[in-house]
Amino acid sequence: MSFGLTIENFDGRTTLDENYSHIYPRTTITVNGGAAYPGPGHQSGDLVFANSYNDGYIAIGSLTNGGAASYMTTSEGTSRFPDSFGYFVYFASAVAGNIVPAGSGYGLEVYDSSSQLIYTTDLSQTFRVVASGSFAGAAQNQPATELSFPSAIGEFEDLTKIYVLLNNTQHFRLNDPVFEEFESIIGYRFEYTTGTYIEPGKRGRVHVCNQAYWASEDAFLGIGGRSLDYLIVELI
Amino acid sequence: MANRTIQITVGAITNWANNSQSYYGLALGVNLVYGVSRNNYFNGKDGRTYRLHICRWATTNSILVRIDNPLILSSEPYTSYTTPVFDSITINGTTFNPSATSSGSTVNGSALLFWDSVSTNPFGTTTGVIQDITFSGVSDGPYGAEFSNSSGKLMLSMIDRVERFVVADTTPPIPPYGGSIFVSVSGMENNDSWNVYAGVNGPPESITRNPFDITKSTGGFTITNLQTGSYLPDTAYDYWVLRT
Repeated sequence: MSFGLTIENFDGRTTLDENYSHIYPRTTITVNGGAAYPGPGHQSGDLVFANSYNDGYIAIGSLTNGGAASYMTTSEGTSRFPDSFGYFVYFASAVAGNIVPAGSGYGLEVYDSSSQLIYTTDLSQTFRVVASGSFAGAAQNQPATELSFPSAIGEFEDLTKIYVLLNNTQHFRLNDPVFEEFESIIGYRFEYTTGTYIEPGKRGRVHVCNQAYWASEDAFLGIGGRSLDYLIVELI
Repeated sequence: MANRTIQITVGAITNWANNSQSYYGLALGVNLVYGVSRNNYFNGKDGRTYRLHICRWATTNSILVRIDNPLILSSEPYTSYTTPVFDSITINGTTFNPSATSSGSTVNGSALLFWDSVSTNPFGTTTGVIQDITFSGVSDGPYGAEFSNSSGKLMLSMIDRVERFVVADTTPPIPPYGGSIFVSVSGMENNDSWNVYAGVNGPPESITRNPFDITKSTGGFTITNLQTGSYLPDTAYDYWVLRT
């Protein structure tokens, strides 16, 4: 780079430059399982971040095979991957085109070479990355495993601020008497800490899931299909 | 010398089952985890960079400050990490001097400093509020840039990692049995600073019926439709390219 602005974090990752727009939590909705995905307020190209505000799984599902996408639900029967009571959802976009430059006042605004606003301090909320990567799950027909965050021994202080990317998730359930029961999820599970000594309902963990239930085996097993490129963020 | 203010969100564990004590402030484990800090690093007077690991008040009327640096050895006295590192620490307006520590200890990688007979909880008992912990007499840094909004909330810190938007779009329908398409993305490299998130464009179906693969490379990425089942429509994919 011969000109411009680059700011790196302490780990050498670029957090701000003049090329790429920060992700802006543009609008939020609250939905129950089974609600149409992505829901009101969504714009084409939005990233969809969701938080389950109770224990439960989260992924894009469908009420019928090949039917319209929905926030996953148990309405097809006794789900092997129970959904939550509901979800908080943020539709996130590039700052460019969604934030009007302040024009006055103080703070920092950064524009790209097309004069599009790509960063501003004039926001009330933003996201930072907690974890990202790729998770294949267990090998096909091997006992299912999950990838847990923060770690095997840690917890998020406030799980209600942790959101997961839904766009590339998938929940599918088949319970046809002709075929065997089959249910799969490429998504996430929220687990709130139970206990009596600290703000019950806020602390907890997120697990990345890539597995399926086969009734014929009565087991949760690896799929051996595509990996889930997971993205977990914290709402600030 | 300068001051370094570390912003925390106060957490608590009350009536801990092991000893019935309550704790308020910030602790990042191992046994107890409560409170949040977006950036808890500071440079001490001795030139080392430290991480504030614990800063809490307990109902035993004690303040504990634990600082981390990989060069700290268990064979060293804890006093090597009091006045040689900072002149004072102020918690929500209450100042504690390192020369007045009641006790302390070191382990490999950490120093623990206690102030006893502190009957007033400087953090208060309300969790979720943002409070300042200020080390005085320390060096500037660590280096970097941080930005706050007009409410004083730290929006981008030196230890944050963020994803930034590059492009979002949908591929044309791709045939099964290994059909693929290369999506050009200017500047893209095959490394972990470039992330591609993709999903089927359309209703969810069985995972076993729509497997696909993404391969990052220089200048873009390739999506391959790996469907091999009996129901074989061409499939379009939505994708989002982000940078971190």
